Amino acid sequence: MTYAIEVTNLRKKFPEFQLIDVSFRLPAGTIMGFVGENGAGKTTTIKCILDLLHKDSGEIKIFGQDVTKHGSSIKEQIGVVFDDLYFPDTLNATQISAILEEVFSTWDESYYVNLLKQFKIPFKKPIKALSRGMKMKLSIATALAHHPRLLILDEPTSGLDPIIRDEILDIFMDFMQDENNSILFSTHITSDLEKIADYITFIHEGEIIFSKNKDDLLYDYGIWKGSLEEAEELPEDAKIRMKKNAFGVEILVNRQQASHAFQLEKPSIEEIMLFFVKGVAA
Amino acid sequence: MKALILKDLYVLLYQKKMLGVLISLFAIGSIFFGDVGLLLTFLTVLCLVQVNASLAYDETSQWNRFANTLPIKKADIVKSKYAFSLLLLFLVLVIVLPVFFITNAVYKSFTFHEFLSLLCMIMSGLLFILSLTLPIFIRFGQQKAKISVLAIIMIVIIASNVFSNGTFIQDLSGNLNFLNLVMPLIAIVIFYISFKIAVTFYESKEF
Repeated sequence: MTYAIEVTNLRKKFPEFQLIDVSFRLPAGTIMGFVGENGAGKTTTIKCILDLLHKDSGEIKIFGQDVTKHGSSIKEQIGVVFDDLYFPDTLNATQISAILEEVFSTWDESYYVNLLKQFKIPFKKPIKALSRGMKMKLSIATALAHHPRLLILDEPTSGLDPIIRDEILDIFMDFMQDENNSILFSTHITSDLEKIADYITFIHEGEIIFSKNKDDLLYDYGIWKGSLEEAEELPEDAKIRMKKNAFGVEILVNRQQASHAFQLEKPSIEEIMLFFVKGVAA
Repeated sequence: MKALILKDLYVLLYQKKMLGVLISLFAIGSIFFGDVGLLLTFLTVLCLVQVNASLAYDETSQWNRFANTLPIKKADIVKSKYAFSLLLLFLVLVIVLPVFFITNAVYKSFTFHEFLSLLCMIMSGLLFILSLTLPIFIRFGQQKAKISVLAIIMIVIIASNVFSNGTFIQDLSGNLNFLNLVMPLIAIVIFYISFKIAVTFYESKEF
């Protein structure tokens, strides 16, 4: 299996926060959802992957090459979308094309124009006059128009309404029609990932809690609900995390370790996330 | 690097109408009063303001974060700012020279040698100020840089006057002819050193 991104034992320390041995691998041709609450370390990890932050230790490879050593050749093949469009807001879509045409040898102006038409983005309107949804679509068009093999998306759908979000997810699904393409998609809107992700990597307080195939993840875990006394019947090694509520307890259970006699609900990614963030060790 | 200069030019051209009106007003004023110094002073300040504005725009829009995801060397990002400054300097000359020739044909207020001396002094001064401000802007960002630049200029002026017993300006005026010859050379060397320092600052920055 080839990997689009390989992060191994990444460490980055700030006075108030640190990434601790962050490791995960994004197989080529797949979409990985990178989830975690605000401040969990998603953006810090992505910035280290893009070499915007200097890592303290660890190894980061994109397409099998070290990011710090082969930055330019790697960056020719990736498209990046942040949570906003980071161009001076007096520029317009046509000027952005003229600028990026000088940057990327593979810039495809006709494809860019098609994307602008498809997204209904005005060619000559300055960025500051565009709505947030329009800005994000323009950001995606600029990331796609040089035909990258990898998209790195840092909260591209945050603050957008469900209709625009759905349109944007469709764009990413189109991008994935080429089986060599890959996406690392950081978000805390887990419902987006349930639609499109193949893998889920969950980061909490700077540490990776799990990095798994989404289907395996949703199959492996189950939610058991009942009273604290009833919960004692569950095998100890099946219990992962527990949350108390007004009616009793909810326990995140490893299905492999629990008998079929226990009635388990299928969890969502959001529920699994909440067990790790809000719950306690069971 | 062409892409980065193009980006700064697009930002500059967004104000083209206002700039056109102001430059025309000062050009007409210079011709009317027979003093090209009016236009030259205005363009010098405008040049400084535009270079600083382009850095401020980059900071506000978080352009540097995006630029560093592109296949562009960090040194080229810095180089583009220095090249943009030199391009503006060149534009100042392109605008000032015809106005000087028109003004001088009518009023004969300067000899060409005098005008050249004035131009050398102002252009060198501009390069000195840019050499100082660009690395500080790149290292500290616009807010801290404004205070730092003001502090440095004040320290230099006070220190010069203290060490020359208050005769610094007179000493400088006395040596103006000699300084006019060497100042452009010194300014170019300092501008280059400033670029090297700015690259070091930029390469150590995180976005």
